[in-house]
Amino acid sequence: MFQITDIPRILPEILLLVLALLVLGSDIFERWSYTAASRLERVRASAQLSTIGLGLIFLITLVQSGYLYTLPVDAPSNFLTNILRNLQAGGPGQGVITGSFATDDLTMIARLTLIGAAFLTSMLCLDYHPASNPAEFYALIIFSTIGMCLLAGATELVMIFLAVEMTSIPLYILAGYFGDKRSSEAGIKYFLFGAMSSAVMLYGMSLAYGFAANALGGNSTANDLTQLSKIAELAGEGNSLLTLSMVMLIAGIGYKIAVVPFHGWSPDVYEGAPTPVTAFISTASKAAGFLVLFRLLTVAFPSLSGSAVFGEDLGGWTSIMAFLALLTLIVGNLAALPQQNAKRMLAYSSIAQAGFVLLGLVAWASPQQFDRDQGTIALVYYLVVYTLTNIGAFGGLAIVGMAVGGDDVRDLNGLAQRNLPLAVLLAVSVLSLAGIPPLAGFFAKFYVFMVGWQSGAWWLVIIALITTIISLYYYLRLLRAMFIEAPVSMEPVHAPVGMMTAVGVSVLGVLVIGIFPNLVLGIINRVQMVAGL
Amino acid sequence: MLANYAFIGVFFVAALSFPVIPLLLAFLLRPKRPAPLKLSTYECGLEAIGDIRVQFKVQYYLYALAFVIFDVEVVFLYPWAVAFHKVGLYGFTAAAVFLAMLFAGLIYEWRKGALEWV
Repeated sequence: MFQITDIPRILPEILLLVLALLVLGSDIFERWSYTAASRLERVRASAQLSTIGLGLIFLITLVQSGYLYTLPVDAPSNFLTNILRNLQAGGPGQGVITGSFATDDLTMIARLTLIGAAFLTSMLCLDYHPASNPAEFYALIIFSTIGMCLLAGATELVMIFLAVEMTSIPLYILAGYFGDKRSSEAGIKYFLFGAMSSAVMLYGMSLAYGFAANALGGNSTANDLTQLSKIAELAGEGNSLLTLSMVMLIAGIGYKIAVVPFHGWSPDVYEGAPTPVTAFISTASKAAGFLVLFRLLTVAFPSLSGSAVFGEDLGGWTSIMAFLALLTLIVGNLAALPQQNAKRMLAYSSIAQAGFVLLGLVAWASPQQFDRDQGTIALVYYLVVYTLTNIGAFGGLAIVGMAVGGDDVRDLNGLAQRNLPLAVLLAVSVLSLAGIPPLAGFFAKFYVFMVGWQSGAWWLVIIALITTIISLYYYLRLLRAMFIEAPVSMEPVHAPVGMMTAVGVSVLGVLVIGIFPNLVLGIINRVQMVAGL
Repeated sequence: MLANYAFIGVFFVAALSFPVIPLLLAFLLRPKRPAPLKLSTYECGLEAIGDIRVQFKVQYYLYALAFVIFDVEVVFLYPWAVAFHKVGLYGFTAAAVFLAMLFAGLIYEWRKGALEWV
């Protein structure tokens, strides 16, 4: 049953919903005239409202999580501490709301990452805005964020499906929001692939439900058969029906997180969508997808985890993950090499990055609980770092694209002479994606390799290392264009304050996490496995 | 564990052959005597005029959306009205909240100019 005391536990989602409605409402209750100046003012109003709102919600969630400061039990009782106590009562804890939504540390960290990503995205959109209906643009970003937060904590199949749809449908619209030919193409393509993958995922869910009902004799009236832990309980040793369901669920979510061979849509969509939206799609929705995949596989199918190395246990989901990681790493990194469009190159790069994240899931092949926990930590750490880094990289490209009017690699030529701070920020992001120490990307990759090796998939780690070295070629091509090539024109590249701040914040985050990894690792270490295991 | 995948293979082969085999059988068995009249588009016995892929005003789409929402509203309210005496205050509040949400949507639609025919 849902209780009143559960309300603080879903406070971030409630606040996001209120903010989204506020942003929508602010657009209709104000009388706007149709002059160009008032239209610009209207865009600004929506953008600032959503940016400030998302920033505040991020802070409230941070306070609620208690990661920075937890109120001592014996604190005096006054107005402030009462508010704080009630707020932190909804912080990370065990227990699942009505069997469908867990608010554990994993959800809390995911919320912080996702709301942070939405905040940076809306900051990027302060200047890079659509010409018409601005409020809907920003509200859609927030609606999508709600879906992602729900996705990260979902422990039930129906909840997972609804959250996936709530995440994806606003993103389809956002990808096609600018209405020009490329943007519309991206929107339609994303929508068609997304609908297809939802269908596959739903088929897998129905098979899992059918399996659970069968295990209870087929005529049960139990209504908790869609819960992940219930499926795990009934799974026993697993059978072919459950394996089929698992394969279909992996395929369905695989589309959302764009791993090879389900990646076909992503380069076109990333290239065509407005660049800040690309940043959002490639980071937040991918992170949420990985978290739901993690929860699904580890909670519902622990009996099918199998082994990543060749042998008796081949065929569990760790083998599938190892295989997908292998394909993703090779195809993503090799396909990025010949790209002439910087956005498309980064799109393939983020496909390749997904391959590294999969290594964190492969760690479940190890029989020791310690190695598995390390895998979880490496996975979450990689997602946090990747989200920050990629927003920085795409944000930098958005600034260049807006000022220069194109996002080919040659449009970056001589950026260092045209706008040095921007070139440096972009360079740091790209180097972190490539995994150069002391940036955060290096430690994330190192950690993932380590857990991959521990789990026995050493062949995969060796291939991952080789593809990392290959990837240096195309990352350094971007640097060469920015710092060595001669500029086309000496006209300085104008960088708007809002966008520059967003890129600056993410690069600062990359630097700080890279130099002091323990700041974030200390928090991520709290992620314990959810109940039911 | 690997044996489970044999089932998946069989499943996919069966799933593929399920639509393909009847289509193939129908193609092989059916008599083929095409005639111009037989191949023409049937439209209530009238001669078909022009192409079906014409452009039409996108505003019809907004009208259709608004219509569907209020149509569904009636579908929800009808059982509520029939059972009004049984559901009591709880039912009344729930229906009032539902109507308030729809009303907010209507206001949004109106202020956005979706109800004006341009």
